[in-house]
Amino acid sequence: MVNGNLAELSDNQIKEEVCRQIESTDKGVRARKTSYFNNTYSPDIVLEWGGSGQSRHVFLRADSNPEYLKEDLSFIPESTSMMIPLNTVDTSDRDDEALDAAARQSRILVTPLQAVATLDPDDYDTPFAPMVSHAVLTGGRGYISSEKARSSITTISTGVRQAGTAQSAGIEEAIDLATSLLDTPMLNSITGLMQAMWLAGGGRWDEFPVPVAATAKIDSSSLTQLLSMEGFEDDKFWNSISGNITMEKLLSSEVRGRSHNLEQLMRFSWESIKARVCKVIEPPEVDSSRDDDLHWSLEDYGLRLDLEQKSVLFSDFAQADLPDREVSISPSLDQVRTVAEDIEVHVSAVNMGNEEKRVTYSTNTDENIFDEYLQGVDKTLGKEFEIVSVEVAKNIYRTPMKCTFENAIARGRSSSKFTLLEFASTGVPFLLETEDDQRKLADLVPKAEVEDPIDVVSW
Amino acid sequence: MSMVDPPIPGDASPMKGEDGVRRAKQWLEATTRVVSSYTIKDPVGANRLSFDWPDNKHSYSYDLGGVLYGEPFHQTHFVAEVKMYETGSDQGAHYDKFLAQSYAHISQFGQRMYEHFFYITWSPFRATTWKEQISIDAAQKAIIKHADKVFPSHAAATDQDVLDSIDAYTIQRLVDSVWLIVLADKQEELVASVEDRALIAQQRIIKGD
Repeated sequence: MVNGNLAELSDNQIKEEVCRQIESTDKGVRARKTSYFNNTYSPDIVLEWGGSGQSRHVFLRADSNPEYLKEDLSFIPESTSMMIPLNTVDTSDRDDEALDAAARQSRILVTPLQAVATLDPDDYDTPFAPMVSHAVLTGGRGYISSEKARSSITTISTGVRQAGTAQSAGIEEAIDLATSLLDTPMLNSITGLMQAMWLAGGGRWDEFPVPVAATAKIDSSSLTQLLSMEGFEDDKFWNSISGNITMEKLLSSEVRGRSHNLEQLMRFSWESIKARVCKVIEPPEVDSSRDDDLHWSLEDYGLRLDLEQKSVLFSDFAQADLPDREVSISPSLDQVRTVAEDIEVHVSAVNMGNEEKRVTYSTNTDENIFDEYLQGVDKTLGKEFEIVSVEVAKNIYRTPMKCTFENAIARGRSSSKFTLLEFASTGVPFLLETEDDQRKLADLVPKAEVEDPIDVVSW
Repeated sequence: MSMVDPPIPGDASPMKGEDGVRRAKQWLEATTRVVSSYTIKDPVGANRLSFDWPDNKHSYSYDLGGVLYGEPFHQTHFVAEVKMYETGSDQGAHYDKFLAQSYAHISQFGQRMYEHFFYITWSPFRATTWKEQISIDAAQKAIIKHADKVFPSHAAATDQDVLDSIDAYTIQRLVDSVWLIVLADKQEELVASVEDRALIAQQRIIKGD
């Protein structure tokens, strides 16, 4: 609630207090004051959610008369507006319903400042509270009193928790309440999350308590909810949903940077998430969210895995569009052979050259390429020739991956994609210069064997 | 939140008075030249719009206050007295009180609080002397009528004593600061459209104004 008596605060102080409360209620929002205050037509505060570009305009109301609030709904933009009366709205049940109906028709959220404070997730002992608070602030509509705000957190959180254990009690009530509170995209997001958790919890699709759309899917919005929640440690759940997650979905979520739940998800996603390219890069110079327990982070370009000294970026972007945090390496032939032997990778081609000439030495059999002829070529060319790139694969039947050293990139031919595990167990070790980084990568990569070949590649 | 009950605007019907204040607020904001405003009924407005007369026994208030946008008034503060009357009625008396209390206000605070004093009505009054409504002469007559509150130490003094007590600089500032605004129902609609106002607000927000 506002610290101090409203009557004693300046316009600016009141707006600062409201911004502070909103940012406390939803940690992912940035509240920016405008020069307006209590203006009928212009917003006092602009809310912006990073990543998604989503925004909402807040219209403060010094007068909490429900009749005036109803009238003011017609003066402000629909759907993206939120009206916050500074004082408790003194309504009878009938006023409540009339204000709620008018606000829902205008697709505007009307919620007193006290109710925004009631949505503060810190006051609830459930990991789902931040998700519900975020959902209400971004997709809420209608009139939400303090009582309704409290009920929304407890009821919807209970429904989500029950869904996670495939217990039907509370789910219908939660979806009914969400339906009355949220706009369609946010409702679908919450429902989709509950469905996914229901399935992850061992529930049968046709036994989900509420009739729903054809498939349970994690969309970008529900993924945002999931990754933004407080750490949710349930291996079964994360393992279950990992098959639904793609690089595209991750990037379309609003989450950027690290999160405990991203870390949980990535533990089970090495073999399901695919990327077109992988690049060893310098880690960000300034990394305020650095956490030794968290290695994965989402960037606008893709997924970043932080090792000891370098980072690895997995991306679907074109090589030319990747961030300019170049790492350049120039391994010797012996170093390439050592890495290949250590990780049991077949090298099918070695490309050597200088600024003027290139020499490619390749094999289309499973014989060892590092034979006396290659050694001879290497010696003959001398130090002016560097190893430019190598083509590698777990065995000759799999799609080859080309590792280019001057920009530390691993990628397939044309548009072929590889799983993160394939990149990490095949190409990336060639691009890491230090033992620390190689050891760290080995620690993080799951120990399971790569699947047997499924595609026969014709040469 | 505890609030002291503010004085009710001095209209015959409080509901009609409140409606007028709200409509005046909406019209002022629709000009796009008001960024901040509050009313005597608002919890944030009551303290800002209520004052004691110099006699410290009586209080006066304005109905509306706020901040203007754009030169030559940029970031200056205004107060308004709003009379939503259909006829002239007893507005002359209300207007005199408005002038007298505004003189007292400038005497006490200078113009560090409010620089513009709006009298907003839906009906002209004293039509035969309309052009003299904002003049030193009109202000002097108004102050004489409320002399007991403006100059409590001269309570039993003559009109001449009151005139001698009026500060020439202050009364000139009062005359320069008073705006007499007559609104009409249709005029309230003849403002920039909601869409155009939204565009203006958006531009100002982008500029960081």
